Amino acid sequence: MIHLLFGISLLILLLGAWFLHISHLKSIYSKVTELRKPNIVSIEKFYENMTISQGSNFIGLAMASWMMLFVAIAYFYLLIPGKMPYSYMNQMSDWASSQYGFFAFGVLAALLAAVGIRILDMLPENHRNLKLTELYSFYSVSKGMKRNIALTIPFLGISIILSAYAGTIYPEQDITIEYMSFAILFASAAVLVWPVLVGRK
Amino acid sequence: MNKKVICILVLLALMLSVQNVVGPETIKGGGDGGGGGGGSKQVDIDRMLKAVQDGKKNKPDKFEELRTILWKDPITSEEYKRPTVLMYYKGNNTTVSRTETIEIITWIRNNNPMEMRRMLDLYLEVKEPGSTEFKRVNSWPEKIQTNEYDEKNTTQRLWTMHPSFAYLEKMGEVRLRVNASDGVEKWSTSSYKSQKPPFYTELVFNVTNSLPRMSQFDVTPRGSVRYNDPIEYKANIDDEDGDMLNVTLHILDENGNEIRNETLNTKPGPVSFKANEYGFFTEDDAGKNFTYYYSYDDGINSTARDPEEPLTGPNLRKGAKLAVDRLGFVSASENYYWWDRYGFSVRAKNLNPEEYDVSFTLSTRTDDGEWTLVESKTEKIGINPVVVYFNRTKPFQVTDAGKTFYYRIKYSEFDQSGRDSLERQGEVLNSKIVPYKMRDPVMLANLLPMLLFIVVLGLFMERKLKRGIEAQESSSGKAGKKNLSNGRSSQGALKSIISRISAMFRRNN
Repeated sequence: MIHLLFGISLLILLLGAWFLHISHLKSIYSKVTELRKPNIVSIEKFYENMTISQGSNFIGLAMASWMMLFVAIAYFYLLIPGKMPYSYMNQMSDWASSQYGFFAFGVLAALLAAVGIRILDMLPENHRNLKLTELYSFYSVSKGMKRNIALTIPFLGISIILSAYAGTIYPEQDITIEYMSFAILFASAAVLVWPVLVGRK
Repeated sequence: MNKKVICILVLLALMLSVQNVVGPETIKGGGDGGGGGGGSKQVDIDRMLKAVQDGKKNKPDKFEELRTILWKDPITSEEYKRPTVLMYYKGNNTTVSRTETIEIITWIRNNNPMEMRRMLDLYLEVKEPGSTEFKRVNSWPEKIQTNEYDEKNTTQRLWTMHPSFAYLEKMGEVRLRVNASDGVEKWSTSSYKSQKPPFYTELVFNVTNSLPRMSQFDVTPRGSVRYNDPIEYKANIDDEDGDMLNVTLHILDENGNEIRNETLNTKPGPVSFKANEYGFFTEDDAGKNFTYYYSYDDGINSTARDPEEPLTGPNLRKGAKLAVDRLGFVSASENYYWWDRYGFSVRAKNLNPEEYDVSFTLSTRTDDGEWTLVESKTEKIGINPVVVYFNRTKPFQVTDAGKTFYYRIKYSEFDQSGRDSLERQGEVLNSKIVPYKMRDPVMLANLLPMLLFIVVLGLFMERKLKRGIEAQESSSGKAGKKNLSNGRSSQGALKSIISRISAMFRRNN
């Protein structure tokens, strides 16, 4: 039950940030359209002028962080049975118990995340607001914030390791470890969407 | 007393005749009051009927006398012609199998006018092979009513109670005819002169019987077997007539002398004799080779020997008579992890002085799963006990975790209890799935490369997509260049407005 609440809170955080991001860009666009009347401002031009370069290194690390977040969620919810109807250890117990089972699980989750990010990135120009690769380009992200986003990589790594530990001791349980894993996961997710939450202020 | 009854009956009969005579007058003239008279008549008839019924029951002699008095002969007339009754058969083939369905029909022509016709009673008669006289088939007559003739004054009867000759016990010529009676005369279809087909005075059939045939002889298991193995004699028997068959298995020893036989009453189809069921072989038969053949009959025809030359089988081998005990297991740890190695053992010796090679096969299963073969080995078993070990086996899979395991050692000879395996319940396997601890190098080798892979994948994606340096232009990079060449001034104005609105948003919020 507690894991369900965890999941809902995480979902609210991520979906809320996404909703704020969309609505923020939409409201700016409507203001611009109003001011530029009777001239028509295309959404592509709007996005083009709205974005700013954040630097290749930062975006690369941000992408790694987002994939790490996806893997951490997979490790927390799908590695051991009991949290979701399906689990890696129940449905693919041969793989889970094999010598490279944990590596395979993480790599598979990361590749799925990468494919998802790439598919979003292939959306047309008028949907740039939906591209995760350009999320931070719409906001002014301070150096400190960039550092914090980069720091989510080791923290999410710790969350993954804690979840992996819970997997190695299953069917025994260590609630403290699991809570810690989720707390780090949630905090990292909050940091990743922080520019969206504060970028409007 | 009798006289009184007769007197009463005669009196009642007279009353009835009087009523019959005057009846129409009464109905005709009665009009409104006729109903009362009718009721009184009904009561009289009832009484008379009851008296007759009682007389039939209590005074049968008197009843017969009364019936003789009241008997009315059928209408006879010089113009009445006896109906023609003949056998009718549509088929050409008069040689038929016992179980073959045949339609036996009797055809009748009655040229008398309707009012002169009499009801006909028909009896089918059959003369079986070897018999000198006809036997009646139907105990109750088949009745032909006066009103059932068609416009050509003909009718017919299909004898459904005689669909085939399956009941015959002897084969050969069978004759069928019909005896007819119109209440006055009795005659047979045989009394007519010979007729042209499809009409016959008698139907003559040559009835044959199909011989049963056996095929697909087999004895399983093949090769050299133990005397108490599940030896089974199998064959197939066919009979076109579908009769119940008597099949006898004859087992011969090495000198060709019959030592055992067993008869089975069966329908056509697969035939099976299980040696253990009938106790064909004993321990004394070990080391001997046997042959066999079958005999069978369908109650009419029989085959004394099939196949002519006896078939070989089974060949019984000599073997050890085992005494087996001390089946057990040991585990590498008391946690009973699925990945642990387990050792199994059993002790065996031969109760006879000889020494034989005996194979032992270890199998395991969990809960209600299938037995899985783990290992097999052969040991020489003599009079001294031998412990057979299956060391360091890895019999379980991850899917067995959390389930109770069972283990079984099967041997190639039978033991003191007549069984060929020993089985025990083990322990509940630990539910733990991952065989590694967090501090194991294996886990480090899993997690560190995985984390590194994710970081590298992120950087690689950015290197390919270049979103960190091209975002201000467009996601594809083309639109921006186009805009630069087409309208740098309008873009500058737009950018200025967007900056101002963004700033406004910041202030407002």
